[in-house]
Amino acid sequence: MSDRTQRLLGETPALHRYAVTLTRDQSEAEDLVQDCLERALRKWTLRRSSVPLRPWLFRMMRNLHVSRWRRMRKHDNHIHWDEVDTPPEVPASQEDSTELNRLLARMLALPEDQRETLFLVGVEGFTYSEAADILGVAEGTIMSRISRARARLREETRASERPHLRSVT
Amino acid sequence: MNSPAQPPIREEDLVRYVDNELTAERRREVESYLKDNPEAAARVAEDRRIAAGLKTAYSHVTADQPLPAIRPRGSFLRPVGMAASLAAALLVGVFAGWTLKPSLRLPAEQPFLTDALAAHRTFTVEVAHPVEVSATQERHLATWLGNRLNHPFRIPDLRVAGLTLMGGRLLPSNQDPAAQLMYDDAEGRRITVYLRRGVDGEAKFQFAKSGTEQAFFWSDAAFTYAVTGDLPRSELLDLAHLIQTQLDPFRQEQ
Repeated sequence: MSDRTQRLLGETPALHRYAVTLTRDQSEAEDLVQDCLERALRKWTLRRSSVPLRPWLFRMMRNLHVSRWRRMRKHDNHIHWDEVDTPPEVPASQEDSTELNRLLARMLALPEDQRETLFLVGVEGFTYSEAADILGVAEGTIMSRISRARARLREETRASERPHLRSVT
Repeated sequence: MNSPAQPPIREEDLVRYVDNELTAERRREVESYLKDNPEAAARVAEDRRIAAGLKTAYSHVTADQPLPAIRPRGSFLRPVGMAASLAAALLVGVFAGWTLKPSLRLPAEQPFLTDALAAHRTFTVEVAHPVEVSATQERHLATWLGNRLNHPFRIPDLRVAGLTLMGGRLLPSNQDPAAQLMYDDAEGRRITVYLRRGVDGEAKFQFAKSGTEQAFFWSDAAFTYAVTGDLPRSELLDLAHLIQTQLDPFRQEQ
């Protein structure tokens, strides 16, 4: 197998993780990964070899995601979840009852900018400067998004560890 | 404790500390601050615990695992998509690629290859009827060809390589009939996959070139295959790997 395909395939799990973070939906994430791999194969020759692969792919995936979302807003009456700023319901069902799943659900419930920033730094291990480059924002913005995301996760984790006294509203 | 020159520890320092984004000097300052401030230390410990938890949680985020429910739409009820199994198959292909080195052989020695190349030349130039059954009837095409070839098979999905299925046809050949599948890319370039029952070749990929067409061919337990196109050799080999991993009988049984 050629170097190109081999390297792209090695990035597939990371691309899938990012796609899930962006879309919060497995089937949409799969579509996004496919689109991204196709585009990467087509654009491969345009990539300078000095450009690191994963950030290049992540930027590409993010652009694809943003343009899809814009299309959806334009042509679809479906209300995108980010437009209604209500925390999603996290049912304490049997299947999702493990702590890790609840943590992941809380992560995916964060606002998109915080979610993807925390993902890039906290999960994928990019530095603030690399994350700033992928997202096209200043490094200070990365820091403040992470600060807000962590504060929210801390708060919600604490709340969930208290005995269940709250009723679902 | 704090020297007058040292700026006070702020929120930003605690955030950066967790992500290892401080200079060595500032990190030491934060560490000594944490020793004296159990509340801040507990917060940092909690952030780290959450960060480690997220990493673990994400390590289970694969295409075949349901996501935790975060919105009313029950997307997690959907079965594993094509992309997931494709990605899995591709990963197998990566490892297969280490052992299966392509080798060169002249087309003349291979009647199978002669047939595959002839079929490729005949039908890729066809404008009105390049295929007998079009991709809109993909399921029917797979069943029908499987029946006629005397063995079930899956139609390879090459979208990851930018190729869309156009359709396929049944072709006569010496023994059992053969099948040809045709794909095209965004620029309209066409490639074909030709297959028939029996083991005419070897498990490893063999490369052949004739005119502008290049082909890789190989056999598995059920069929012998050729993928042919006017493509650079490396791209064609990628396709061969892609097809091989998708059609591997051992994977189909899983």
